[in-house]
Amino acid sequence: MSTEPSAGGAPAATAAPPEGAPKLAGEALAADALLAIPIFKGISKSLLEKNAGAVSRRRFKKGELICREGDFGSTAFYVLSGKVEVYIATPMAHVKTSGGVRGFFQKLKSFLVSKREDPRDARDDRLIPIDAPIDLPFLHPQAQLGEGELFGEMTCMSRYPRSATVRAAEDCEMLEMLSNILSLLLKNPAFKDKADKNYRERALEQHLRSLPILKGLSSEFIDRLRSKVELVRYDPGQVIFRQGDPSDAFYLVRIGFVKVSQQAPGGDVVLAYSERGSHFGEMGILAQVPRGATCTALDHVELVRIPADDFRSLVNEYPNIRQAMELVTRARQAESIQRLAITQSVPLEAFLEQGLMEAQNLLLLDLDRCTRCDECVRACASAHDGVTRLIRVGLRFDRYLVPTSCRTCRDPLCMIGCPVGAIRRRHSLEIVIEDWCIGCGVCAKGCPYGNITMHPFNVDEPDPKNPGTVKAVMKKKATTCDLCTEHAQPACVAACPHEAAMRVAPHAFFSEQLSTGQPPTGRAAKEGNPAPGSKP
Amino acid sequence: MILFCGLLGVRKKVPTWRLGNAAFWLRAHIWLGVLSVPMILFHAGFAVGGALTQALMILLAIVVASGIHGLVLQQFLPRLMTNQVETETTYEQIPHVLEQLRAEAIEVVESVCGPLQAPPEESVAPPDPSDPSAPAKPAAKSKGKTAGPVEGSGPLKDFYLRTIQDFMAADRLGNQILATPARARAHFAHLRKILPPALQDPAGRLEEICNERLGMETQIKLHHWLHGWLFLHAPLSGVLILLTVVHALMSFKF
Amino acid sequence: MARDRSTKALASRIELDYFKHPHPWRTAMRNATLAAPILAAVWLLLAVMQGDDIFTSGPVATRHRMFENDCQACHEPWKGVPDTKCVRCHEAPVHHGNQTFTPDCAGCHEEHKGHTRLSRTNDRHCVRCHSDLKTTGQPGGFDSSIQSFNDGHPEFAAVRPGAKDLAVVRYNHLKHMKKGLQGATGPVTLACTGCHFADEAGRYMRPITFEKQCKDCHPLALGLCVPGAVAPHEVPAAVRASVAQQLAVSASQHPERMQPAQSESPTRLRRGTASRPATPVNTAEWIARQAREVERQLFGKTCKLCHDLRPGKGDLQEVVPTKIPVRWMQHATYSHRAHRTLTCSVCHASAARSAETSDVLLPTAVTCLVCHSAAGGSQHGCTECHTYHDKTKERQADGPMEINPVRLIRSGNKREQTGIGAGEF
Repeated sequence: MSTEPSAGGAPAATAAPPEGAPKLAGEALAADALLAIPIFKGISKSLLEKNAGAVSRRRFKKGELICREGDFGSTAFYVLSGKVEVYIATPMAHVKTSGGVRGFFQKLKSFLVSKREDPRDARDDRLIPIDAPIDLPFLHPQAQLGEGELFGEMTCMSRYPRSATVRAAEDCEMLEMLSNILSLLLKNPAFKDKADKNYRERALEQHLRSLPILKGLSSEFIDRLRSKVELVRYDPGQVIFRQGDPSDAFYLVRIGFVKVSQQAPGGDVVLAYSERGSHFGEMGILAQVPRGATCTALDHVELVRIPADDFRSLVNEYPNIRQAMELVTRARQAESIQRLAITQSVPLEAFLEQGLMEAQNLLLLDLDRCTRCDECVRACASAHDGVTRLIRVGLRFDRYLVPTSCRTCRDPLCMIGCPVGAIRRRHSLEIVIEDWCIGCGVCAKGCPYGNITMHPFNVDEPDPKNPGTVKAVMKKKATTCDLCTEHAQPACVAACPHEAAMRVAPHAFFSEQLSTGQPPTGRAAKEGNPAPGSKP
Repeated sequence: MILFCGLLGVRKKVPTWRLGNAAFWLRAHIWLGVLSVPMILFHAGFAVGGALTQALMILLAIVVASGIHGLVLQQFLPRLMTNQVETETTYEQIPHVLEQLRAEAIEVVESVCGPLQAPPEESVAPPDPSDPSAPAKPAAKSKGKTAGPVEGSGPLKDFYLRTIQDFMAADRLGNQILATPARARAHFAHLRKILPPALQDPAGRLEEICNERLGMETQIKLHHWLHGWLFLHAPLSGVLILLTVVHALMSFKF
Repeated sequence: MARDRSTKALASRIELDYFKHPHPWRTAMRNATLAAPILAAVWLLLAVMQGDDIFTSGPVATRHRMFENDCQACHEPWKGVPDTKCVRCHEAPVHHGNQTFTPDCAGCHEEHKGHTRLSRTNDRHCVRCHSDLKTTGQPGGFDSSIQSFNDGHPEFAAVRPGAKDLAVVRYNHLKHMKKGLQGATGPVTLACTGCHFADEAGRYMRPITFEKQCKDCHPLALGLCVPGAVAPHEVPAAVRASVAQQLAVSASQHPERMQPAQSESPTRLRRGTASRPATPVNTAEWIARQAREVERQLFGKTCKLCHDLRPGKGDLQEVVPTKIPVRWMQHATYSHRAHRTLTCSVCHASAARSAETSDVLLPTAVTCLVCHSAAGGSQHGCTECHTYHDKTKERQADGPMEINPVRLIRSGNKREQTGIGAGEF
């Protein structure tokens, strides 16, 4: 019963856009009743009548579950009265094997090889971005939302899984709505003003401070900014600005994903996906040059726009911010130059066909050397708390097997859609999944190569039926190859006794084959399928 | 020199990773192993001595010979496997993957022929309920056709029931019709000839599935060749180490 | 519609934790690896319990066969083979009083090498000290840096430059080895082996004796007075007595010899010496005269052919002791028998040219090295010539050991099944 809202939306989410609106639980509201609510003021009655049934009023008792993290849904919630508690219940952990005798030996082995815990960036003041006006602090991922606040926007508009669990903190009343109502609402000046106001008052400061480079801001400055910032919305596919446009604003991402791409011979190259909490557009402003990249909204995006003049005065006032900003800028510039250089140096067609061009760092097994002893998989498991991130099957390219292991794509499709921003790139381009992964599986679906796997593991969770007790629950978390960056060599490569396993930059490794413009053998196309009966 | 022998043994016991990479260890293992032969021969002064030392000598000979045998096999068998088995999978998972192949084959047949009379229960249900994605995939694709038997699908169903079903279910292929690539090819060519155009694709898929099954058999065979020698090498190395320690202890005692 | 064979589809067929479930292949491997050493251990235990001597590193030397199955006879646990076990039977006198290092018995005598002679130790045991010889107290007078016979071994003392045969006897090899010498019964040509014979062991040449080697051609004839009679090869007093006695016998048996006319027959020894006209007076006078004559001949000439005489007691001279060396190389052993296939002159080449007694006719080390070196191919270890322990100090007989029938029966049964059976004891 507690999961009802999301359960109601689930089928629609997996199948088709919610045209025939699913039946919402709770008390359906008529257009008149809606218009009585301040935020609906100004919307034409006929529009509301057309969308009858797409919004309902729901009442929750204290402690009742409103939605659960990782579930799929298609509704957003607007708090009419009362307070709700927002938190991430999944324990902060990555997947590990359970104990037992084998576990002991694994531990012994890990000890012998001086293996550290799978490291994550230890920054305790991090914020976990969620689908609500506020972010959750890393150490204690819990917050409260009150009257007049909206959450579940991304779920509703872009079908992301719920990013957090919401429970009624007291008896409360809320509006649950489908995307058609929500978009009406979002376009409604009455709501927009309220939302802007809300944001300015409540979230702006936290949001700004959540950016590491803006940490040193004084409260007065934020007060000054309050009136200047603007919340802007973009629809999926809408271009925010293009490469070569004048640099007129700095953006913070509040909701959704923004693709940052650059023109390159052979097509655009994706430089980054900016998710909630990240920023872009500073480069042109600081250097006072036109935009160096095109930014496109991937889904329903809400941005915080800071005009260029204000941004400039901000950085001028805070030299340390300027410094940090320039540092980031330089790193980004170097990275994009490097990437463009890579893409320019190889003939694209042949490689793109293989799907290997996407890869920056590819695990290859030389099949002429590999004795199929499976040591690489075992090494991977032993290096990652007993969970392998490498599956020794895949397609072949030349005499190499490209096994299932992260290839750190240039265009990391897996990073699109994480509702909690747990998947991201780290310094050496490897993709890492943070401990607060809620196991929704969006990244695993997003990866075209099956390189992200959802591993089940047991956790103790408070039993909602018998408060105060815990029960073992099977949870899933995503894992992917982290390139073993804490070691000199990836575990799989180091463990290969026959020097068959290697991590290579494919464009350089296959440069010889690429220079001929043809893959050496035709037997390993990306969606390859050996012609029936072509070879016994 | 006795210690040298022991070192060779101890080295193998150390977990392979992170103390120098495994390739280095393997190389050291091979060279030290080969080197140990002359060293031990000199140590023994080319005499075999008593029962224990005789046993040690024989063991050493077998262990070194099997090691060299394995080394030689490892030089060309991987290439052979690469060339002969296109659709290689993880050796340990062959039974599991095979189950899924069976399920897939049934899926393909059922999608065009309607439900089979009494498909063996265990081969229909994927063995691991937590991983239903693979068998489910073809199902989703062919969902549109499940309504009933497609016209002219009789031969396909017959062929499946008479030949493929056994072929997929058998533990050992033996002299199954499809176990010979040439015969399998001929059978499928014939099958295609008598099937209507609409059923060419399922037949092709069935052939692929059978080819993959056949590849697995080759893979198993090659895998056994590739790793079978270890059954001689590893246990006897254990014995060799034990007896060497005894030999060393006794020679210190006396 | 093709089957989906993307990486993702392939990977999804694999169980994520398959490597945690023991695969039969790996299980079998692990079990075999565990079982094999256990089986080996069981074999060891059984063998030990049955009393099988599986730990031996090889058969013991022939002389020690009686201890073949009795480890405790020589070995003491954790102590190896203490010397005390060896010296129960072997005296093993010390090599030199001033040596700085005395190895354990087992240090040089390596057992369990099969049926070898334990006294033939490896050169390295000798060279350990002799390559850089240190002594306590007085230096021993030996070369201090000997690596092998080929490297650092000094020339034999007997043939070093300036070394002389100091025997007080005159012998000329050159003369004696001429062809067609006049022998007792006609012309003869002497060969080396005509005079030189090896001892019973075939090792060294026996001393030359007058009786065997010289007498035939060089009889100590008394002269015409007693034709055919010879003096013994004795000290002068004995010669005098013998001469007197033979003259007396001759006078009594052949009175006619006292006639002057009959003293004409010439002998080889008296050729060219004029005999005075004899006027026989009586027998005693004749004997005394003849004795003086014979003694003058013998002591003045015959003896001096080889020997030096010097004034002795009374009117008799005495023979200076000859001091002919019996063994030249006291620190080494040698076997002429082992070298019997060789012509004497190969080694003793100078004998044919030697005119002086003082010439040493032994070969030099170079001669030995022709064969006894790595290049020559023959054995060239130290023990070929040298012994470490002084063998003359060995126990003659009556050692401590007893025959233990039980031991030998076991040995017999095991080694050759039907060989030394229990019935023999």
